[in-house]
Amino acid sequence: MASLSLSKVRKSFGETHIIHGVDLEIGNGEFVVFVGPSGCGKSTLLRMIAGLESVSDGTITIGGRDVTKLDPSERGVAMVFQSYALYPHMSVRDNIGFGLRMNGMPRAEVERKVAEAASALHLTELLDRKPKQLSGGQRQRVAIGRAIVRQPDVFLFDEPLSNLDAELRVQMRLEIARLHTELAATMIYVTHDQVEAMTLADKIVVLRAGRVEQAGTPLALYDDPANLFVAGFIGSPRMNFMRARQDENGVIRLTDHGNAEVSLSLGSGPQPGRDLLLGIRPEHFGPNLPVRLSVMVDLVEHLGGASYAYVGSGSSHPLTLEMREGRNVVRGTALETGFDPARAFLFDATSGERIR
Amino acid sequence: MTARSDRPGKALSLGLKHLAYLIIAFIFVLPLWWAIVSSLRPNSAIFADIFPFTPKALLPAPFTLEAYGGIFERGFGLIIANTMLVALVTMAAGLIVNGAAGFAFAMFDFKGKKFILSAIIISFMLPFEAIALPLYTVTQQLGWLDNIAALIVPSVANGLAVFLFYQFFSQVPKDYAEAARLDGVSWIDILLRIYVPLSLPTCISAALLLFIFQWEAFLWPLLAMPSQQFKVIQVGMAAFQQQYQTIWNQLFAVSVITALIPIALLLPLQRYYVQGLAGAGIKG
Ligand SMILES: Nc1ncnc2c1ncn2[C@@H]1O[C@H](COP(=O)(O)OP(=O)(O)O)[C@@H](O)[C@H]1O
Ligand SMILES: [Mg+2]
Repeated sequence: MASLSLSKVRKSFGETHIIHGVDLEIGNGEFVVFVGPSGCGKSTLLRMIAGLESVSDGTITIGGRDVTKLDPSERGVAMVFQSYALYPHMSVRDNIGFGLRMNGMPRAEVERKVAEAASALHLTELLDRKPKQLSGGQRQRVAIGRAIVRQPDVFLFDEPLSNLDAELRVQMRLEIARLHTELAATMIYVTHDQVEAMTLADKIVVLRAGRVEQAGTPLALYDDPANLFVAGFIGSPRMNFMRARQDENGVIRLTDHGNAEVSLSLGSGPQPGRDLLLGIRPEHFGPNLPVRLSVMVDLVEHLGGASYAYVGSGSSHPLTLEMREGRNVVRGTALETGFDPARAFLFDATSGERIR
Repeated sequence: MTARSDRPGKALSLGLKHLAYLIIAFIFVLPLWWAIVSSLRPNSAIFADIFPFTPKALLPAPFTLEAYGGIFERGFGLIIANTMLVALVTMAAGLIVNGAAGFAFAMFDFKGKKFILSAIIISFMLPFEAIALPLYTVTQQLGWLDNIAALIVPSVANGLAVFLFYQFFSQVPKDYAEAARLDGVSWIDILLRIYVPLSLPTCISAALLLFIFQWEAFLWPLLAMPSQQFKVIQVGMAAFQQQYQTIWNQLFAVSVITALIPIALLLPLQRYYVQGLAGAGIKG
């Protein structure tokens, strides 16, 4: 267990700058999820923390100790790889105990630790198998077991569930959450799946193109996104964005929806003449709300508890409406709906910044 | 039902096919077979059934092992032992040196890596004759002429073997090495306990390569051992042919032993050997 901090961390591969100055504080025992689209530098950042990639600039400290230049083995971190990286020629037992044995731990003690980890992960029956005789979920657990036995200060996970099928993914997600509570260890978890991020994290760090877009609790990111990217990335189905402009009287109007007026309580408000986007989540549409919209439904999906009506599919600013009542809607229905401006977020369409 | 009526026809064509294979195989092994047969006949009967030819020429009759007894009396056993010594030491040292070099090229990035790799690749494309003279000069200056080190040391580092190892090790997912590094496993243990067990076919290929290279060496041992006190098998065979021009059955026995020892090594391992060489080209 340890806290971890990144300060002005940068990474370049030759002339290509991948991580552009990341500052981050991670508390002792926190479960932090790095989330972002593919290629944004999540793995690179995680590997820099692990010591598998050198740090071009900035410092990394773990438990108050500057580890920026330390060898991976001296940082007190353990990592679960996306590929699991189980040694194919070793049994499960040897895979889990390999690191301990190589560091000179007596055989009996290694045996004991392996047995302990195996029973915690329901692997006891499988100790003599080779990795290729295991299912995906079992391999995943062996990889986790290999991390646990080392009793690291920080656990690092790089997309550990992405090779599993949907059902197993949910199950392993719960298992990892359970592990986090039991071990009370600091964990950093990388994923491109915002649902995994929302469900697991104490703190989510949204990355884009090597920069931290926003860091905070799942609900803070959901309820108060700092910019267009975070607003669109967190939440499923994603937030709707409608084009808006400010008229000469300072009133925000929805240009694609009959110039409907949206009265927002803004601080300084937008600069005049900017293109704006108004964000509203699917579940915040409903009848009899202050801002009225008339829309034509393209498609309806019934998911049981909720139904989603899709509007303007194929246009540049489609809408998704969540409906829990009055669901007798079909393709072609003209729907009267609306939203509460207090639920809406205003963004500068060009810079993506939130306008408050 | 239809299957049954087909069967005789199919069996016949299958039989013909196998007969054809058998004939082709026979043509290929014929020279070797004839050498074996001749080495098992008394010298006086070598050409007995050939002019005129009778099928008996292909059978070792009359049968005798005197040729083999004869060549060992003339010291051929020592020559085999010499060659084995040179080839096995080269093989063992070569596995270590070339394996470690291949591992370094696959694992680490360093200045001039591409250049050195290209030089290594070129080195195994150069014919030996091109470097024989410079190598001779160096060996002479080291004072290694007529020393067994002159046979072993220059052959330990082998460009093709380095390349084989490099090629294989770069295909092993880097995650294994990284997982082990996080666990504090030393590079040498990563090589010996993870990469080597995963690369057994490559190790066997490289070992055979090194062994056969030494087994076939002729020009270099001839140059490097001018006094001919220490003879290896190709040189020994050539000398034997010059010396005992008419003892045909013994000449054949020498050839048979020279050819069969590497074959005896290759056959049980050829599965790995072919795998290793093929993998070097295809998997990218
Ligand atoms: N060793 C490397 N050399 C050059 N570029 C790299 C290297 N590793 C990663 N990159 C680049 O860095 C970017 C971020 O990669 P990565 O951290 O793997 O993204 P993510 O894990 O978020 O999908 C990608 O554009 C990738 O091409
Ligand atoms: Mg990644």
